[in-house]
Amino acid sequence: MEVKKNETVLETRDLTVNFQTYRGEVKALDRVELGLFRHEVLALVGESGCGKSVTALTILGLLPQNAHVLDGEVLFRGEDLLKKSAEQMRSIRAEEIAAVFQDPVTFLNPVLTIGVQLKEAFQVQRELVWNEGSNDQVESGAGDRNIKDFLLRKHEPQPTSRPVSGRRMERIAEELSKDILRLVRLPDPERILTQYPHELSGGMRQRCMIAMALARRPSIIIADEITTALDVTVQAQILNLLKELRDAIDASTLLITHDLSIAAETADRIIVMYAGNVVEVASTKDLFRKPLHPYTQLLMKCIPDVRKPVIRLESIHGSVPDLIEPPPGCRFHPRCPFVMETCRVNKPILKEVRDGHLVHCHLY
Amino acid sequence: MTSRPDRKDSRESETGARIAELKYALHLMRQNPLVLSGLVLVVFFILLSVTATWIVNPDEAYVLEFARSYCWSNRAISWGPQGAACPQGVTYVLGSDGFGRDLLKMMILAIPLDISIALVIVAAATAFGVVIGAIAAWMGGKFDEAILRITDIFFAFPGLVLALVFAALFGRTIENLAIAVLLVWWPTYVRLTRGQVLVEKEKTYVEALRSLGVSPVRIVLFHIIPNAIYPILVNMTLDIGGVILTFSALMFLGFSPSPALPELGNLAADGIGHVFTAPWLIIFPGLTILIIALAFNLVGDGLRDVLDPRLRR
Amino acid sequence: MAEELLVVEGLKTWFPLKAGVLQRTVGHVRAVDGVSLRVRKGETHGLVGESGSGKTTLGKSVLRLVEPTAGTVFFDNIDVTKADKTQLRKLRSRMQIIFQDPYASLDPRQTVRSLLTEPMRTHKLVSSKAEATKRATELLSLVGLNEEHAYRFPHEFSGGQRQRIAVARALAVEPDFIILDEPTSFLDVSVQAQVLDLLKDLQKRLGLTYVFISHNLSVVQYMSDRVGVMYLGKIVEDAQRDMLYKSPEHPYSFYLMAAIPIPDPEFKKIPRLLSGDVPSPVNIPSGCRFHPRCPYATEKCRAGEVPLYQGSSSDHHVACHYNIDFEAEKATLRPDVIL
Repeated sequence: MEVKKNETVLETRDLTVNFQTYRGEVKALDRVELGLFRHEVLALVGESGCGKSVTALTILGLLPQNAHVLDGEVLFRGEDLLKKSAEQMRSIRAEEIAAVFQDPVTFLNPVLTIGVQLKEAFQVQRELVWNEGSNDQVESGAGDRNIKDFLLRKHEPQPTSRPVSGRRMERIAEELSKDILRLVRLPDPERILTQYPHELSGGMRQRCMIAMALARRPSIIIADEITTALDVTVQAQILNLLKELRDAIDASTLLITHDLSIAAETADRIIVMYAGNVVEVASTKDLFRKPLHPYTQLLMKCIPDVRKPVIRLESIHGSVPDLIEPPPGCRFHPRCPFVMETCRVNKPILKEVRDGHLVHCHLY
Repeated sequence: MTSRPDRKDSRESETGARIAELKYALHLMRQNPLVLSGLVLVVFFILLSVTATWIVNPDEAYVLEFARSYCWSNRAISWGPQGAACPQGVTYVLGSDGFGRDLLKMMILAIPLDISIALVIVAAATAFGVVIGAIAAWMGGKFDEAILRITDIFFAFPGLVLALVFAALFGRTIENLAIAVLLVWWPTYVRLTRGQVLVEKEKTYVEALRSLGVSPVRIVLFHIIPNAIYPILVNMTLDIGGVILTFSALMFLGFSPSPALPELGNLAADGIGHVFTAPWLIIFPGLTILIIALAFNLVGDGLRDVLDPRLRR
Repeated sequence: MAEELLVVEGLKTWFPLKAGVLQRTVGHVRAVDGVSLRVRKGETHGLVGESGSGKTTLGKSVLRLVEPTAGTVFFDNIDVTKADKTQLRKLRSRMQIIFQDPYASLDPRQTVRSLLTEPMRTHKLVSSKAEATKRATELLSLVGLNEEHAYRFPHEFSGGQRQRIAVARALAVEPDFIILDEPTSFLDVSVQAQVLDLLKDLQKRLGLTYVFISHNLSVVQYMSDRVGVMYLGKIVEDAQRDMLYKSPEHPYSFYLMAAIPIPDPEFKKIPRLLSGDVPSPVNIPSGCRFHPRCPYATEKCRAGEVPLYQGSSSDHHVACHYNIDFEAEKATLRPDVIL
């Protein structure tokens, strides 16, 4: 399960996104660069307004009407997703890049049962619709091993003479749905398939959303603050589930969170964002051993560690800037204890300081 | 400790603070061209209403130069726009009405009448409706239920029938017609206010005020109602157009106290039998009603866009 | 030893569930179901729990913002539960609350100055407008804001600043006691310390007593002297802060501590996970409320309500029949030392 460092699955370059609002233009993303490697868990960490969710929405092609991508590219399998049509992006979201959001209540259709929604995730997959061979395998297999096989092996659809019949598709989808619910450790899958989202608890809904994301056998899973609305014991369960699933699926995960501790426990690499910029990129170990960017250093001091209670908690002086008129030069400079003249005027560049460790700061 | 960068100057007093907020709201409204034109028209009409009696001598309304029947039956007379009116050969810009009066002047006299009646009706409906709706929502329980049923009854009344009854019982005066329209209009405000107050009641800041020991009366009057008022304000501006339409319609249908009354609907009613020979009698007053209602509607729309999401942060 | 400012005994707050056309009461949501608490003057008593634990309802019930169903609350020897309207109003100037959401707890139509002076006028603490404005300015500087902020509206401030305004407003009535209901949950981690440190400073300066409610265990650890752990409307463990965090004695507390993510990638955490979800207070399990999820549950646990036993020291209370050695994973029955 080593990270194949050289294989980049998704990459953004110079991504710059603005939002038109009544009060003015919000410069939400400023030349955001990120790279997601194969089979890794990459955490995108930042506080409110840093742009982490906007980045996710840009990748998924789900930006609202008032957003404008001013510059940049989102490269997936060599193609720029920003240049794709809505129809193409829909197909990509159906089979390649899956998303799980913070509040499943708003993202699950309240009038359809879990079963219907989950089965749909299977039924839209072209490989299943057009490939007799694949379906035979699925039908003949059983349970746990079946679903893991299914998830790991994804083939290009070879159209046969006609698509698989509706009823057969229904049976296949039903079997797969039960298996995948078991995989996400939901008890009594038969019952859950018949239930509606509001009948389940928050943790269970989140697991259903994860199951729906996995069902599509995506290459990339984007998890946007999936545990923020959950209680801490349920959060622990979900994070543990993610760790277990890493082996079952051959996907890269982009984990978006405001909590550095979650990133510490779950991620291989961490990207820290502040006010629309990427300020530091490093492997989790390197970031915690030696944080380079002043913001990262200060942020780590702000986080209380239960094992070592402190007498005084640190905070960062000032507050997050208004992105309608962001500070000139480096956006962090008004709050930075190491601010220099050049920081007030010139924007820094994201530079590789050590192997795999990048910083966006004039100090380096 | 710095706050967010200011767009506005620092203020020295409470009123200063509120004026700054108002200025910002107006600035936002100016940015939408439709709203702006609506605003311009409304201002224009209000100015016109205020100065109407200086522009046109109101006595002219009661100068009935010649018998109506003479004009209508005499084909040789052309008294349309720019045409010569009866014997004297005077030309009126928009033509003359059924009584030989200058249509334009009559319309100018009619506009303040319509607008002022509409304003009075809407203001009264709002005043009653807001008070009753707020009390019903705050108190809840049986009182609330009772109010709801009463408004249901009023909703069921067809405005026309009520106007008819009033006219029959109390006489065909403008006041009675206004009361009839008011009775049909006010329940909407009760419902609207009640809904808004119910929503505000559950909000955290109301809970905070209770925890501070502030009296319920003060909470409702000074906190809940000011916060709940925006949809009501929007509704008010939209309703002005609606009331003018309703009132003119009633006049048009024959509820007017006097056929010579300069009121837009009344003026339009005059020409109904002669729509092919004297179409201007319906077109111009009708068009004016349309434009006034439209202007208020545009302003209401603009208010809705501006007031709700942005200032209610 | 300081005297006890707040004494809560057997407090219950139940909400009726109505159903059917006639809206009959079919059951109750037992949000707070028998809680006893003692808070000493000048102390901060923390309350932790997850959703459904009843901690927020407890805070509001103590203040009678929500009417309790049973039990008593004594504040400075005054019976809060039986106070009439006038007495309650007076109590309101001594017992205050800071709410969780700084974006919702301030009237958006009020200027900061008006927000601060209104409570002063309500309790007749000032005699003139000038005096009120002067006091408002003092309060603003007390919470680290400037005089010029007085004529601004809440929406012009950041979340952290709004909480400070809320603190200033609570202080305007000169309270002795403040319930802090998740005051930093909505704030960024980089500014939460500003508000927490402010609260700590004010406590020292003004001799305030706090009840600090939060689901964030690290923050509770930072702020509290004593901590109570709540589960489904009851307190399952109550102890000195360090005792609770170093050696919790109730299984739920133990699993709660184990679930906190540690900001250290090299720390090898043993995953200790509870099965199932946090239950809702509509369907409360029989016997010990925690028994359906507890790996140590026995028949005795299913049988009847669990009393609060004395734990490893006289001021450590645990609602569990067993003494559990979590490291060795062994459980032994507690001697019958019930409180």
